[in-house]
Amino acid sequence: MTDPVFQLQDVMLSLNGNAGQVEILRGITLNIAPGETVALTGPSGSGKSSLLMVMGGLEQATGGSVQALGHNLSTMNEDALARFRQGRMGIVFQSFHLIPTMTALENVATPLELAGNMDAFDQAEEALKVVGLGHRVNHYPAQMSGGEQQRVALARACVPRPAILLADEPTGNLDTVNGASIMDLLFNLRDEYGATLVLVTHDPALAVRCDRAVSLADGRIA
Amino acid sequence: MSLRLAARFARREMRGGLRGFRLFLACLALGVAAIAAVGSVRAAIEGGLKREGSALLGGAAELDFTYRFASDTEQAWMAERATAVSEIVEFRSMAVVTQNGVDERALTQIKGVDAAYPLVGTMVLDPEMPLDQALATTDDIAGAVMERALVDRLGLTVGDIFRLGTSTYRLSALIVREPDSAASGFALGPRTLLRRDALEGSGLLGPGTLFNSKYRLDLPPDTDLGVIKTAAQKQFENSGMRWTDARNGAPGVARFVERLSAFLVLVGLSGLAVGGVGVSAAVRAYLNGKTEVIATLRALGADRATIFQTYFLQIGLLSLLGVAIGVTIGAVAPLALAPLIEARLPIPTAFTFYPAPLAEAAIYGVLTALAFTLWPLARSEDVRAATLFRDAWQGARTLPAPKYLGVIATLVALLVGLAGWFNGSWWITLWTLGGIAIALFLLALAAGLIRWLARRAAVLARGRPRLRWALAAISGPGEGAGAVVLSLGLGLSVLAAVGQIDGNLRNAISGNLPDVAPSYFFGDTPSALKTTPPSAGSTARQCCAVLSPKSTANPPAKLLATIGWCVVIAASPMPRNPTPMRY
Repeated sequence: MTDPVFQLQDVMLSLNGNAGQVEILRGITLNIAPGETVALTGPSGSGKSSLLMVMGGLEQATGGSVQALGHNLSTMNEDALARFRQGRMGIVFQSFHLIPTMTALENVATPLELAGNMDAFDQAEEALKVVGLGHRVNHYPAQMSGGEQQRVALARACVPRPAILLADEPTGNLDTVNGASIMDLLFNLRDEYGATLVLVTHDPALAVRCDRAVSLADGRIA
Repeated sequence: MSLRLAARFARREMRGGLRGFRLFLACLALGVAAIAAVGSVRAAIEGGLKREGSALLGGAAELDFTYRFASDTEQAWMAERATAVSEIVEFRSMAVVTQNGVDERALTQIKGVDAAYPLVGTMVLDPEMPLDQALATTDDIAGAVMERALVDRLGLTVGDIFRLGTSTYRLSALIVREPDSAASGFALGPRTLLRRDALEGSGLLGPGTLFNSKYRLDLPPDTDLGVIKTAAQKQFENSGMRWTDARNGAPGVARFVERLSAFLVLVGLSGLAVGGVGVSAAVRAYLNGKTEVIATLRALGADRATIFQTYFLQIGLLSLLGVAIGVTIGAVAPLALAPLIEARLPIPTAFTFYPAPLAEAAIYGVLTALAFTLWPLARSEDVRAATLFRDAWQGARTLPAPKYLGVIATLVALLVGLAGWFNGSWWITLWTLGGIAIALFLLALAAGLIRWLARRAAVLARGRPRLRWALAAISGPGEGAGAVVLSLGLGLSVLAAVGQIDGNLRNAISGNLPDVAPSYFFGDTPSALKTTPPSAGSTARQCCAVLSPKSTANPPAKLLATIGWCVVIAASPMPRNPTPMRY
C-alpha cells in the first residue's frame, strides 16, 4: 500500500483578529492518496480555503499535524515551507495572482527559476503552448483576458510537474464558458502529469468530476 | 537563492517605471544637491583663496610687526631670502577737509606703501590710472587714493585737497579694487592709500604711534613656505613678529567660510533627514502596494532572503539614481550660478568640478537612504504567502528583525561619525544630529498621540460621516499619519531652528551687546595737534575703562576730541572683544 500524499491529523487553525480569536478549523483528519482528485466543498466560511492553505503550507496549523509527501509541515518555518513547495506543489488561485510586471513567459518560468532550473524559459514556453498561449508569451497580464490569465496561472502551477496541485476556486472569477474550459484544462494537465489534485469549489458539477468530495461545515468535515 | 536571481526579479519589478518613486527621488536628490552645492561653493572659495593666496596677501609671505618697523637685522634677513620686499605701514588717523571754513573729519585706515607695492595683484582705480601716477607728487602735494565710502563721507571729488595730520594731499582717484584688502582684517575706517614717504612730515608717524608695519616678500618659486616660516619664527622668536604666507593668505576669510559652510552642510544634513522620512514613507507605500506580488513569490517558493534582496536591489538602484541626480545638480548649479556668485562675493573664487564635496554629499545620501529604507524593506520579509488569502500582514511585528536594527544603528553611527569628521566640529555635529533624533522621537510620540486621539474621537463622529472617515484615515493602520507628522514636523523644526539661530544672532548683535558695550569707543589716532600722546602700550579697551560704560554724556568725548583723540560714537553696536582690531 502506497503512503498517502496528505495525512492530516486533528488539524486546528485559530486566528487572532480584531474581534478576538476565531476558530477556523476544528480538528480535521484527512488522508489523500497519490493521484487522487479531491474536491473540498461547503458553504462560505466553512474553512475550505483555510484547509487548502494549511495543506499547501501557506498557513501554519495551530494544532494537530499536517504531513505532505512524508514531510511534517507543522514543524517547518516559513522559509522551509517555501523551499518545500518548490517543484512539489503547484497552486492555482481564484484571483490568478500573476505578477503584473512580468510577461506570461516570465510568470510561468518563476517557480522554475526559484527552484534553480537552468532551462526554465524553455519549459515555460512549452507549458504556455500546452495551455494554448504559445502566441502570448511576451504579453503582460494586463494585456490578457481573465481566462487567458488563468491559463497562464495553470501553466505556472503545472510547469514544475508537481506531485500536488492545489486549486482554490479556479473558476470563481471567470464566466461559464471560460470556467469550463479552464477546468477541462486543469483535469487534462492533472491526468497528463499524474498529480494529486485538491480543489476548492462551490460547484457540485465540478465536485462530481473528482474522485472524492470532502464537505466542510463550521471548520469540521461534515 | 542567488543574488543574480534577485537581481533578475528586481529588474522585472522596475518595469513599472518610476511611478510611486518620484517623491522618493525628489527627497533624496534635493537633500544631496543642497549638500553638494554648499560643498562645491565652499571648495570654490577655498580654491580661489588658495589660488589667489599671494595676491590676497600681497606677496608670498608677510612679516607683521606691531608699533615698530623691522630692524636692520630683520630687513637683512628678508633681503637675503626674498627676490623683492615691499614695506607697508598701517594705522588710523583722521582725514580732514575744510569746507566753508568748517573742518569735516572722518576716521580712515591709512596705508603707506613703497614703490614696490603691490608685489602681487593690481590696484584698480577710478578713474583708471597706474598707482604710481595716482600717488605721485605734483606741485609739492602728494597724491592719495581713497575708498568711495570715505570720499562720499567727506564730500570730496577727484582732485580735491584733504589733510592727514599736518600734511595736505590730493585725492587722485577712488579705490575700486585693492588686491590685498581681504588679508588686512578688521578696519575701523575706510582706506586711504598713499606713499609711505609722503607721510614724512605729517607728524603722524612718531614715537608712541600705534601702527603696524608689514613686509611682503616675493620669494623664489621653489621656496618651501613651511621651512622658511619655521626659520623666521626661530630667528625672530621674541621679536613679536607675526608670519602669514600664501598658503592661507586670508585666514580670517578662510575660517569664516569654513564655519559658515559647516553650518550650512549641517542644515543640508537636517534637510536630508527630513527627506529620509519622506524616502522611508515612499518605500513603505511602495512595498504596501507590492504585498500581493511578494506573497505570490512566497507561494511559488521564494524565501525571505530572495524577497529582501529583490527589493533591496531595486530600492538601492533607485537610491543611487536619486543620489546621482542630487550630485549632478549640486555640481552643475554652482557652475551655472558662478558668475552671479562671483559678482556678489568680495573674495576670489575658483568654480570648477570638485570631486571631494560631491563625494561627501553622495556618501551622506547613500547612508541616509540606507538608514531610512532598511526599516520598511526589512518588513517585506514579514509578508507571508497566506496574505493572498487573508490580511496576514497586519499582525506582523512593527519592528524589523534585530539584525536589521543593528545595521540601521551602525549606519546612523557611521553617518554621525562621518558628518563630524567632514565638518571638523564634533560638538556642533552631535548637537545637530542629537537634535534631529530627539525631534524625530518627539514627533513619533506626537503621531501616536494624534492617532490615539483620532480613534477615541471616532465615537463623537457618529452621524457625521465625513468627520468619521477623516478620523478613520488618521487612526487607521496605514500609518499615513505617522509619516505626515514626522516629515512635516521635522521639516518645520529645521526651518524653525534655522530661523531661531538667525534670530538669536541678530538679537545677540542688536539687543544684548549694547547693554554691556561702552557708550564710546576710543582709538588712538595719531595727530600732530595732539598734546599728550598715549603710551605705546595703551589700548582701546584701557581707554574705554577710563569712562563708565554707561556714560552717555558728551563732555568726555568733546574733551578727548579737543586734545586730538579720535572719538567714535558707537552708533552701531561694537564687538564685545576688540582683540581683532589689533591695537
